[in-house]
Amino acid sequence: VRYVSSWLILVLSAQVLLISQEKADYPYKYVLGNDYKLDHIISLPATDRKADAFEDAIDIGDGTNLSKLLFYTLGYKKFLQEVENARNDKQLGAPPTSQGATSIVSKGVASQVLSVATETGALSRSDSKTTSTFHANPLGIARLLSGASAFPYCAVYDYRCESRASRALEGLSASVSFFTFPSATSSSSLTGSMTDNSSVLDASAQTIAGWTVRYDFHVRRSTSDLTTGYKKEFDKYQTQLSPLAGGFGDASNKMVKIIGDSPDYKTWRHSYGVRLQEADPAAASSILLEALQKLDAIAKSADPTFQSDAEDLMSKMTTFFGNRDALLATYINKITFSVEYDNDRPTNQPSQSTAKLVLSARPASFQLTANGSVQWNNQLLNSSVSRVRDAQAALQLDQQLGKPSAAVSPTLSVGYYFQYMVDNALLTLPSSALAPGTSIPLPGNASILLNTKGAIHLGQAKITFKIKNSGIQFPIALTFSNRTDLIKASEVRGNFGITYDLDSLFASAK
Amino acid sequence: MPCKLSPAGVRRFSATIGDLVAIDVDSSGNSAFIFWASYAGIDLSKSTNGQWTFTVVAGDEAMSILIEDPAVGVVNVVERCDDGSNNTLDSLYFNTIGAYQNYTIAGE
Repeated sequence: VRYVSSWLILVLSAQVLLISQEKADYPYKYVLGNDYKLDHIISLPATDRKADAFEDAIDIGDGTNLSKLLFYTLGYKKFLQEVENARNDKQLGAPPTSQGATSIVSKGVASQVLSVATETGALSRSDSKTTSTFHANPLGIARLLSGASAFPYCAVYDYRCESRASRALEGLSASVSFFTFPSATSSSSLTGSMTDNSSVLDASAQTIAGWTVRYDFHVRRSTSDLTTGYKKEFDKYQTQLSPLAGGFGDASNKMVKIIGDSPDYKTWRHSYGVRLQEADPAAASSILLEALQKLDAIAKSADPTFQSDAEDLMSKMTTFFGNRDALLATYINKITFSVEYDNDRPTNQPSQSTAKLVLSARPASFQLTANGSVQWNNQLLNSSVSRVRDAQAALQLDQQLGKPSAAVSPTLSVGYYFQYMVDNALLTLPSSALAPGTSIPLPGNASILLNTKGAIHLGQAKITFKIKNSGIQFPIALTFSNRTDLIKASEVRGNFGITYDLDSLFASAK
Repeated sequence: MPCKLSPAGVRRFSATIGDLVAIDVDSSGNSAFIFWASYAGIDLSKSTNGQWTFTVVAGDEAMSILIEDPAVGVVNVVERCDDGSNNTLDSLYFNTIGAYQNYTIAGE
């Protein structure tokens, strides 16, 4: 079942990718030219349409045209991929209660289409495993299947960029985690006084480690609110944004100068200004496509290093957009929270449900994520234990280190996790099993593991290496705990994983 | 003369060498602003009143700005003139991919 399920997901992913390659949308009306200016000129009576006005609308000095030239030369897909890459606050891995997890909090934003994470090492669980987690967004997949653009780039404040229905559905996501190696051993080192409980933790070959359904809410500011406070908020991030803006502006200046100084460019602009003035408005789109193709040829002729200059400009532009959107998101979204339901299926325990609230904020340059949750046993198996198993609270800070545009950018995370075990743990053991540390046979298929009530404290330090433009991240964590859920002994655990955010891949396929 | 820049072609303006020019943007919601500007290859600093100023030098030089407008609407690039009037240099519908705008200033 595990392999069939995995293959089905992979086949679906490939199918989605292939379809998305066949049907790629371009979100702008004209392939070249400022849409607003062109529409205005075209709407005028023929006698009032001036060649100069068309020349102004297609001039390379207008950032819209510079961007459209980059989209044509490098691909709109690359632009989308690089903006996507600049984000830093997604939930890609398993929830912290899983037996294979690297993060002590669930993050505030789920993947837009599909992500895969493989993680080794439990956090609060005694039984450590390796799991693979698939996160999927139904709307993102539906958009790709239907051929509509799953990733139109919308600036963080541009509410009109997407429909209300899309916005409402976009927050919905689900995940399923599989045990990759069911009998993997723990990477932990136990210290202190260990109880006999470890002797009964015999992992069985179970398939699904758990599944999750979540909804992300973004309560955004009204447009009138934005117009009054946005600039002040933008100014707060001058230290981070000014160098990025300077890089974007300087790279734009360099390209505009090289192209603009070419004699061929001036001839090109004048001839297409005249052609657009004289042409039937219905022919404007085809003329603009031809003009864009010629502009690309002029740029390559004028600039022997045009390809690398274009890549440099796109990198600087998207780094600015991505960082601006991430920094301003907390202001735009007055409140960002997620509600999540986790169904954990730990080995040798009844399945457990968790209701979770995730709060996300960016008070300064760092990302702050807080979780609060309650977990309960789905079955009591005729035992006397409480239905409510435990309550959890967690806090994590993420700080990106180094330059955002670097090929490998590390993010440092530190966090604290608290779990209170309301009652003793409930195990599912075969009827032939003996009580822990005794020769007394256990009745039926359930057993209460004694003396597991109480508090669990975890501290974690983690570095996540993010590979630029790949969607790949490598989280490596060191977790310290006073105990785990079933064993009262302090632990130091190493957790590591690899996550692959397929959003970047789908974006690159467009 | 209260305004220093005069139209001299497509996205091109002429001015007298030594003139001090103040650039800004206007929008209906008063929400648009310039967050980076350069002239003649040098990054400009924003003055205390939010305008970006430069002194015109000889020859053709690029004046570039990066604009932001959370209201996403029509933005006018303007010169703030000495008499308090505005000289509109360009009018565009703001889109974040068109944040960069570049003009040539001919110093004569």
